[in-house]
Amino acid sequence: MKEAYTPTSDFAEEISRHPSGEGINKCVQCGICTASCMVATYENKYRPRKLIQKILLGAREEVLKSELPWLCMTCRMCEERCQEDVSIAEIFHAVREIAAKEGHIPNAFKKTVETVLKDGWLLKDSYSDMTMDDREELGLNPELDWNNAFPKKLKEVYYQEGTK
Amino acid sequence: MKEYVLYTGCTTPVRLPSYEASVKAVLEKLGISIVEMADANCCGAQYVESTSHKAFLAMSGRILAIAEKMGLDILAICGACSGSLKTVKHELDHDEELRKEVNDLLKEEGLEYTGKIQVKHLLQIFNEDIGYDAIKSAVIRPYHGVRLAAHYGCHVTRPYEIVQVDDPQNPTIIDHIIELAGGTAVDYTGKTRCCGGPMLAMDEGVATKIGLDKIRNVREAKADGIVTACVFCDIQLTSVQFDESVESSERIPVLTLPQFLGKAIGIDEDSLGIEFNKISPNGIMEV
Amino acid sequence: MTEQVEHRIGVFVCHCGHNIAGTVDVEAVSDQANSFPNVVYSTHTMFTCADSGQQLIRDKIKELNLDRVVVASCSPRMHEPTFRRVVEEAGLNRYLYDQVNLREHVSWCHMREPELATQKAIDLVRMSVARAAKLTALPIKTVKIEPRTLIVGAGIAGIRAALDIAERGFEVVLVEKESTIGGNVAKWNHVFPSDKTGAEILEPMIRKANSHKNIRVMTDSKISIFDGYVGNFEVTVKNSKTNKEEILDIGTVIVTTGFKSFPPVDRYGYKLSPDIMTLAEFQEMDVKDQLKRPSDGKPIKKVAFIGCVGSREPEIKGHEHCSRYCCSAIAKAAADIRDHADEVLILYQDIRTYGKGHEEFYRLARAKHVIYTKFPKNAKPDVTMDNGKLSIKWHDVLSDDELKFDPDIIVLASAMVPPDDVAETAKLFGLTRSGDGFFNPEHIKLAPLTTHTAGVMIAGTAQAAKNATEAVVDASGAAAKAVSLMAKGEVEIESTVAQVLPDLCSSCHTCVTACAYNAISMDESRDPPVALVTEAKCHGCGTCAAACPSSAITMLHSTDGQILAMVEAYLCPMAPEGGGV
Repeated sequence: MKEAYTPTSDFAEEISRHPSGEGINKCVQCGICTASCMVATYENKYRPRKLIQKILLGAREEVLKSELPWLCMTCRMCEERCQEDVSIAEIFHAVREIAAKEGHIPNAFKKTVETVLKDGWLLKDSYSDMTMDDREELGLNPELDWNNAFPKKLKEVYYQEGTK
Repeated sequence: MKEYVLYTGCTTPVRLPSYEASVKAVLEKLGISIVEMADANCCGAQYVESTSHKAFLAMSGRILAIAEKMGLDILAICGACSGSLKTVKHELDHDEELRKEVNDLLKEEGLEYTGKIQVKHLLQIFNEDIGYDAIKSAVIRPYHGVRLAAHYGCHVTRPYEIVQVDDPQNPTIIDHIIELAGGTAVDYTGKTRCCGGPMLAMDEGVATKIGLDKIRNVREAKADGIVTACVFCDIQLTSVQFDESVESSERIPVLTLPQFLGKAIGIDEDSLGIEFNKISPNGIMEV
Repeated sequence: MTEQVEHRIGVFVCHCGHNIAGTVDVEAVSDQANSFPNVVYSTHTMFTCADSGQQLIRDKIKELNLDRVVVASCSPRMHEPTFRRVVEEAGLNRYLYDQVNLREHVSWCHMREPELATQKAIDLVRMSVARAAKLTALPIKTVKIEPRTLIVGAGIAGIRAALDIAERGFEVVLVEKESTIGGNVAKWNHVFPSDKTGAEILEPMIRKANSHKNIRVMTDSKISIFDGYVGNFEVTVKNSKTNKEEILDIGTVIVTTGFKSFPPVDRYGYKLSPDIMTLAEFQEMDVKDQLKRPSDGKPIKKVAFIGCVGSREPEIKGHEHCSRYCCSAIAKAAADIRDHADEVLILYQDIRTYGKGHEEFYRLARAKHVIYTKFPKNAKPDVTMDNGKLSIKWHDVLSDDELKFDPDIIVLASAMVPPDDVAETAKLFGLTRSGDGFFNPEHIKLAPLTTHTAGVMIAGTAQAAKNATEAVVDASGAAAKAVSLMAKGEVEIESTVAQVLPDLCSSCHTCVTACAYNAISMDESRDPPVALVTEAKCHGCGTCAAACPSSAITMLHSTDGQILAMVEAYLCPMAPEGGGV
């Protein structure tokens, strides 16, 4: 039996102050987002509408620690269909950022972010000789010139402990 | 001749170089000149986007600034990159403070973004720059009796207010080009649904189920092949068909749009990288 | 053997398109009718009610000197008035017309048995022809309408109606049982959807009503006796302070006795604390600066509203209805108080913000971070109090979580129910009430403001739960109905009423007791007194005639003779052509 908690509007206010989370209070819980969601179709624990309600009720710790906000594919079908003009995928971006800053980030995301900020792009380790050959065969430049200095700098500015 | 700077994104050069090659070949033939972007970085889609909004603005912002320095509009061929660059452009164009913050970081690189350049996705080049009439006249080896299902991809068409590529509920650009090239564009259930690609990181099982959902719908519509406009979708729709639930004989070939159109306008298969397609499209190409 | 009076009856059998002809062989019926006694003309038409059908009747009456007409068609409820008018236009008294129902009573209910249906149709027409021969012309009577309206209840609806009627030039008597006028709305400190108090909104209307030359306001007054009939009501008004009575002549009546806010004594701990209050009580609180808790005067920082209190409770009589006003009212109240509070919750079953501007208020409340939480119908929130501290526990349906909250006050959006004296009012004016306890209109869709008592209208929350805007719309509608009667100056009354044969009356008073409409009284001017029917009040139901042990009452247009002729015609089908028994 789940423990009862006291609802508070603080978390919704926090989300609505984030640039991506503005419209959260427009949600009237109609459920059309969940009906349209491909993830919800194949993953029973994922219900965007329910997650938004938990945010509106202020279940901050539960939501930030959960992996559910990270399951959104950002396909934006929900946003296309939402009658109240709520950007659900965007709201989950806001939730993710706050969660990440408090140390709750799934491994897959953590690793990938680290890779991007180190290499400047995602697939440096996958760029094998074979692929290089393929590129040459196609008449493409085999030298892939990606910048990693700028992303490294961004890591310093935005990804240190305690940054806003 | 209209010129664009090509932003390939992380994935295409490594995982689908045939897409890069066929884009170049087809656009050059249809009168669009492509310049490569040097010293680019990842657009920050999905991963950086989810963990630091400001870092995301800076990552894509730098790409926009590079293009501005080159004085050229950007052509994005990956849906996620297209979505990111357009979203960041939209936000920086409308928020002076954020723009200033990004430009402060870019200043040290000798770059600045002031909003001068546009970002377009590949489909817009066909629809807006080349035009259907020019495409029609360029078709010299049309397809015959081939049924094709168009898959647009989520980030290509949504959210409409920002990306403005095609009607998000009922997109037609790829279908139109299929018809111009002599194919039959097929409608199918869930045409605008996601391929499941973005889910791979968190849950491969669910991602595969979502991809197979689309394959099932395409098969039910009796399509001979799928035509895509995003590298991620192409890779995903191909690889889910290697799941144990799909017989190898049942696999439906997946072609990127320029590969598909390239053959019809007379470009040779080698230049289009057809041999690199994991599911051979020979059945379609030879008809 | 009764006297044979010669009549010239015309029979018109209607196909009603396929409606009757689809089952009944109308041609056969019309043929057969030719052989019935007194029938000089019989025909069948496609749509008798159409212009061509009506013209045919008029033409044949003139051409063949018909003195009785029978139309065998749809239900008289459908077209009896139509055909009565038609025969009247051709010079025949409208009561020399009879209608046979071959549609609802034959073809529509015997669709699978066409032969038997046709036989039944023939029987019914034969019965009607026999009755028609016995019909007599009845005088058309009118009564004049006194150009004065009585309005019972001076709330927002009553005042609006009064002003509308007075502006049109008629007199109004506005009776109110309290000492001031304005009703419920005047007591509230903010009224949806504006930010004014109820008193502020009503002030200009009240001022006008009090000073208008055509309006007489009687406060501290109630109706003690209501007598008479449409256009000619005799109303006794009693002042509760002085006990003085006054009799007024009234033409039309509008009942706007309003509603009462239900005190939810057995729900949500209402009795536990003064900090648990109804929405009406909340709106009566003084709005100066910061609101304070009734119990200890501490500032109110946390509020919980609960919806559907005492409404939408299946199988609890008088509480099954939705009170309609509450969802919108609590959205506004919550949005208003959110500016001064730390947290405002609305616990709801459903949200119905349907009206003009209502949905916008709902969105505004959410935009201000009012928390909306849905509880299940079968597990309502649990309110407890411990040492003056209020506590609510409930299950939020949409997050599937258990929630709890300790508010400073709890506001219950409690039901709109009829006032305590509604039964008395109903009896006084001869009104019936529906399941929700409010007065029944004559027809819920087609006549929502008139009642079965001619000349008596209902408006506002007296008719059903609604908000003030809607009550005002009702009021203007009822006023228009009253004005339309009074402007005409007179109204026709039905002639198909009861008639007493004074010589047979034994003064037993049975009929007086039996009449449901108070339409029979004893005429004291005769000795011994005999029963006397007030025709304007009589509904022609026949109860008195049936009850009378002396057979002293006859029903005009449904006399014993007419009815028995029908029975005889059915049981003894007609004699061979040419006469005979």
